[in-house]
Amino acid sequence: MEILNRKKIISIGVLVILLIGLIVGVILVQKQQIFKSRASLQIYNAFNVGSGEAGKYVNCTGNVCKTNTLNVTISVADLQALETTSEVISQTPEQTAREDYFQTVNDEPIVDDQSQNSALSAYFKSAQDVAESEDQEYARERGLPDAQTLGTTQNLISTLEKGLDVPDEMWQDWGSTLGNLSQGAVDLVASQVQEAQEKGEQAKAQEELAKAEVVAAQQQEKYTQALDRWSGMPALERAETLREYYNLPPSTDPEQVLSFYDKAMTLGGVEFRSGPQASTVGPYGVHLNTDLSSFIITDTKGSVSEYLSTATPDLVGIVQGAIETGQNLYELYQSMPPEKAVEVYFSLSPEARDKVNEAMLNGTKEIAGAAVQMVPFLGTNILSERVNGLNSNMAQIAEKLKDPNLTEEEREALKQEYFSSLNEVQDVKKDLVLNAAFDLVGGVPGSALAQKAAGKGSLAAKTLFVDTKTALQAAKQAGKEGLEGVWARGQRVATEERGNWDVFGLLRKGKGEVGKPVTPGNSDVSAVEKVKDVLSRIDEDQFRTSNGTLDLRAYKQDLSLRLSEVFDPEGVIPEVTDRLAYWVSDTRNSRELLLEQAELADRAYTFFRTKGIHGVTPETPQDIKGAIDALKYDSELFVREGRFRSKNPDEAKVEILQALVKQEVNMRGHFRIALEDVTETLDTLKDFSVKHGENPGSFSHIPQVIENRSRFHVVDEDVLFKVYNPKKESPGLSGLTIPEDGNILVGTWTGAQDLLHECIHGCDLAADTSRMARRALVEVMGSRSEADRVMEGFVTRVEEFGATLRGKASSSHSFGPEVNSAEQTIIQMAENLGVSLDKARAKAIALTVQGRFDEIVKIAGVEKVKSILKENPTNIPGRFPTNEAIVTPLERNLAISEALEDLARAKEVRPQDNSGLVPFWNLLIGEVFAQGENSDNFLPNSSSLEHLVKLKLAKRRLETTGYLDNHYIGDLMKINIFAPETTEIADGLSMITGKAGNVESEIEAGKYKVEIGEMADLDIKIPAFVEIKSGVTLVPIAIREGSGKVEKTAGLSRGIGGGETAKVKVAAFYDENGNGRWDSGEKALPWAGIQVTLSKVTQEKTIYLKEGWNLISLPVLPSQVMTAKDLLGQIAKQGGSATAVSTLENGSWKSYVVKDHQDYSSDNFPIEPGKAYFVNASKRSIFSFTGQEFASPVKLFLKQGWNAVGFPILSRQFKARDLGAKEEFTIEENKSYLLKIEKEIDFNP
Amino acid sequence: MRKSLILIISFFILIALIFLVDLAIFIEPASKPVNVLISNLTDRQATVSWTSDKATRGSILISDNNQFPPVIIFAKKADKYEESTAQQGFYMVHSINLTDLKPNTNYNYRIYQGFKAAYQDSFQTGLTLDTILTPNPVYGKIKEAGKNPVVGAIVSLQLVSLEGTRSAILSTLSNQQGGWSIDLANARSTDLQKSFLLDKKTREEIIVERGIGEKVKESTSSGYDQPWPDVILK
Repeated sequence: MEILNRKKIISIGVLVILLIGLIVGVILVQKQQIFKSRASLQIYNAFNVGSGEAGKYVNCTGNVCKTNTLNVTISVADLQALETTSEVISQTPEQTAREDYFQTVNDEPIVDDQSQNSALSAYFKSAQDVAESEDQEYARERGLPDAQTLGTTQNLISTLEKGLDVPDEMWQDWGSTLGNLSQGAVDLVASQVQEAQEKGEQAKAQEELAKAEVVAAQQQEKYTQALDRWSGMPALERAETLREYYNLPPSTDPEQVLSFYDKAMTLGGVEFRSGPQASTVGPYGVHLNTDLSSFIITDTKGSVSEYLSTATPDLVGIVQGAIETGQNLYELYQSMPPEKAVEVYFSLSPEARDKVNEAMLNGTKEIAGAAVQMVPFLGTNILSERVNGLNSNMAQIAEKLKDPNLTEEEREALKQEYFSSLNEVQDVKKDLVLNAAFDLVGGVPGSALAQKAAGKGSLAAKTLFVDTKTALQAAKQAGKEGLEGVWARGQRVATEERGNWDVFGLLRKGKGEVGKPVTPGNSDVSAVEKVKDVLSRIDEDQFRTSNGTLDLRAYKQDLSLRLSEVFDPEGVIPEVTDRLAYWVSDTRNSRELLLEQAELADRAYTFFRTKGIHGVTPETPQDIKGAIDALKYDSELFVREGRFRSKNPDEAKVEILQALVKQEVNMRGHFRIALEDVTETLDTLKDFSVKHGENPGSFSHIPQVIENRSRFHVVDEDVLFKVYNPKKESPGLSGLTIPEDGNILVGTWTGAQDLLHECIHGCDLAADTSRMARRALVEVMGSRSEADRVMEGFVTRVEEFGATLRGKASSSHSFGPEVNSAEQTIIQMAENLGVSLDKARAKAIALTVQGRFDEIVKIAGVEKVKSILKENPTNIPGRFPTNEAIVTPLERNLAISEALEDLARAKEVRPQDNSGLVPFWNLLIGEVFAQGENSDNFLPNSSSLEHLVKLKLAKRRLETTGYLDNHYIGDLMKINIFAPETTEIADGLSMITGKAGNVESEIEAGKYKVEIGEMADLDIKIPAFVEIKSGVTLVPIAIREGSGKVEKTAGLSRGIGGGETAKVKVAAFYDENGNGRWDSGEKALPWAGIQVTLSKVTQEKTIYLKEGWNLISLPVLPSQVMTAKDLLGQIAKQGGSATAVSTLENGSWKSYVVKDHQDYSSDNFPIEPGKAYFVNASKRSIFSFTGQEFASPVKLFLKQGWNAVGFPILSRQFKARDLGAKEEFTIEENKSYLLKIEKEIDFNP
Repeated sequence: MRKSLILIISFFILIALIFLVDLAIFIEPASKPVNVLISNLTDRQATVSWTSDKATRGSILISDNNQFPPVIIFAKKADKYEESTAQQGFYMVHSINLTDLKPNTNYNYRIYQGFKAAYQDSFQTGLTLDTILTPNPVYGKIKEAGKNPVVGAIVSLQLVSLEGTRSAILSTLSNQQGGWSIDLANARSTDLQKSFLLDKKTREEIIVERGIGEKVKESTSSGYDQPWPDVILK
């Protein structure tokens, strides 16, 4: 029995254990599932899993998801679960409510009672949720902690603020008071406590930092003292000092220490160090491991990573503390030795690094200011301010001079001061005019147009700065006189887009100087024949190498020679034939291309000589027009001078040939490579600077500068030699030229390294903001030439660094004296700062690249630098020619420099060939404007303007694609850019007015939304919607002077004619009285290029709002949840204006009020089908929204008393009395009513 | 024996529960309601508002026969937060809107601060009127002297005719931007028998109150009320 009992007991025990095990197992499995779920959630959130729609990061089909950005395919076990969970987490309750409803109505279209009930129920719930989510937020905002909580919190705060430790009990007491508070109250007290905690921690951290600083200073002192005694120190003491200093174990053999030290020094290290102390000296040298087993030599090229790993924990802690306590990281970093700063930087967490980066950038911006942030036309602004200041000073002096008590001496002194100011005003004004002129013509100095603009003084501003108002005036005039319109729409004023005026310059010049009589065909043999002859005499095989490939170099030389023999026997333009040969040899199908271009050159030459550029008319053959247009942008011809550069016809033809062929190849590729090379160099340089402790901002902004602010003007060397300085007096012109205005001229042969060099000039010294730095330097140095010399020396030094890094030889500039000056200055800096030469150099480079030369001079000492410069007289006399000597081919410079800039901005942009013409035109047309009649740039007719636009088109093409072939030009010429144009878009039409100011097209009947872009300084009024039926429906565009607003007017456009088909006509008119309607007597505006889009409204319902109170109800179930606030917002968005929506609740009005974007109500409420609402509109407008038609009437629950109801659909006819009202009137579909109900009722209409 | 044990344990559990409930009631902050105001009184709704000197959970029980349960378990209506979230906030300014009331009926109401009944009074709803006015919201902003918006202040408005006749009181709470709006179309005569009609000479007076001691009174005339001049709460 006992045995049995024992067995039973054992069995029961085992059973219990098993049961417990089972339960534990279940719990564990359950737990694991929870973990899994969390993990899945993280992954899901990271990839934003969508449902296969375009534009999502991850597209899922079934359970398989793919991403375009990562080369992965993910299989998701339970996609639906993930999506559901994510929405809950990532959205606010309001968003969730809106999204839920949106999905419901999309998934379940209303087709019957059941789907309608389901959609209505979803709508009511979501709308309520949306409205309530705001209420909840409001309630939280309103909630306050109770007195008890406030008391406990205050105790805690005062303890925390003192930086004292808070006992656990105090935390618990405080925590227990939060339990019953509203979320708003909890947030409030929690934020107060957190603030106090931060204050306390900050106080603690500051204390720690102060302690750390004392320790660091003591260590430094010890080190300095030891070094001071170093030379006279006995060997053993040296060893002991080193051992102590480098924290080596006490047992370290002194001889071993000294031996390593000596070896390190022999190997070229500047210092000897190991372990944590390694970071206290320069970047180069020896690192000794603490166990003395090995050492690492760090030179300029390698082992940097080893070095970086030795950051001391103390400084890392200090920086970390500074981040946490919000100290000025920039200042902290500036106070550290550069190499130390770098070490610490790399020892920080990625988040902390971000903070440091941000602080460094901000700090750099603060200090460098203009050098980092571009301020357009800064020079002009400064000059203007100066003039104002001087004028005001003169006015004061004039006032003082009226004083009869002045002595003669005082009077004389005041007069002197007055005239001195007057002289300066005149000088500054001259500068202002020049600035304006240069800005107008794209910054090309010395061009005829610039000179002219400068000469005209203030006239330049008046006549050349045009705006849309001017355009409108001209268009109005044309409209009144029934003239053909020549004006195009614009988004920006022309002066914002540099380079417009070169074309005007060409046209104007062309009118006067082109077309001097020449005899056509005075060259006996045509270019075609000559080219054929040259090509026939070249045997390609002769230039083939042993493996069958063509030796291009030899081929090119031979071809160049032969072309010279035929076209340029006197060798006047060897560089031209040379380049022509180069292009031909470098281009596929070169022979055919050359022949084709030669033929065109013949014809273009004849045309040009006989008619000149002004002779180009619509009747001119397209290819000739194309050729001439192309020549203006990329030509060796000085078109604006009215002649070819070469007077010899043969030479002229080869110039044309060269220009035409060059179109095919273009400069873009050339500069792309150069720029990429520069960017790479700069990146390397930046990395180098960061690794060596310099501020990352010091180099990192350079690529940006190249891309956005470059004001290079790249010219051919022949231009530099022969044109820029025809007297060849300045040998320095072959490389870089900095004219008076500060712009940069660079030879086209300039390589990448030189381009970097020039960039430093061009970007930091000459272009807009950097002129500030240059001026500062001039001020410090006393003269510009001295300043330039300092700049040149440092720039060269920087360049050499770059060259070293890239493993290439440094440039062979002969700036020896300048470099010497720079080196001596650096030595002086090292002395004055008490730092090593390397540090001083790094500092000098950083300051140079930031344009802070004045700081360099200050550090080295003004007098010292002056004496250094005196000791190193420059060997480049006449490096900076006077303005008078500067003549550059405007059109060419512009084309190249703009292409360069654009290239940097949009490196990979390549629009699809001819299909892109129309969009291009639309973009471009914005840049061309009508001119005032008094302007020199007045265009006499639309042909001129059309021509101008096409020139701009070609130019844009060149800039964006790098190509400008004749096919493109041909196609371009065929386009009638002032013809009205209609393009089908996805849901309607895009229409552009022609020169008569209108455009007409057939269109599918229906309701369309009308859209138009803003135009500067003009007000436009258009109908918000247009209902198109058969016949012609007019969409009037009312335009008048204004502030750039587009206003939608209420009401639909009306049809104005009969007919079978539906047509729409968009027409612009001058809205004399500003009422938006085309009243009798108001004239059409013959304004081409106005673009209007008509988008068909699908499932859209419209509610007309008159001014004042409107009783409305929803005619359909909205596809988006709508609350009172939404309704007011939508009305405003659609061009209307309403201040209040009122609903009747419990027989009382509840209003939601918004005025001037201010919410005045605390209770938002849903707008529900079946209810009626009062909307107070402040002007007439149309409110449209999309939604689904109801399949059956919306059931109403009417309470006793007053109810506001609407009936979107009725199943039968009934009267108010049927609803329980006393009245007898008939209820109509889609109307709203206020009804007093005697007894509550559920009613199905 | 076993039964006795179960009884004893149950007894202790019951005692513990009672103790806990009592404790909850005891530590719940409570305060005497002051400035109790009945406003927005029409045929089917009324608003009861009051202030307290400390943040409390306010709720109201109403009864048309003066019978109240001995302990409040579920309030008829509470400070608004509770309505939608089943959580109750602590406020110093309380405003509870009572809806779905019966016309022309006397209601007793009892204000609870937490679990404690703190105030009791009554009001009478009006008749349903035969006419209804179109909405006429007036609105404005309540700001502190430093121009910060005043959130959650009670704004009570009364119309005063040229002859000095006053309307029944309308009220609302200022929103998160300090904005408020009150629809004058809801205004009735003090006996609630008719709408209070406005003319150009009607004066509008508002009293703004945020907690005890923070109160300001301003007035304007019809035509200067959309929006009202900013009211500064000193």
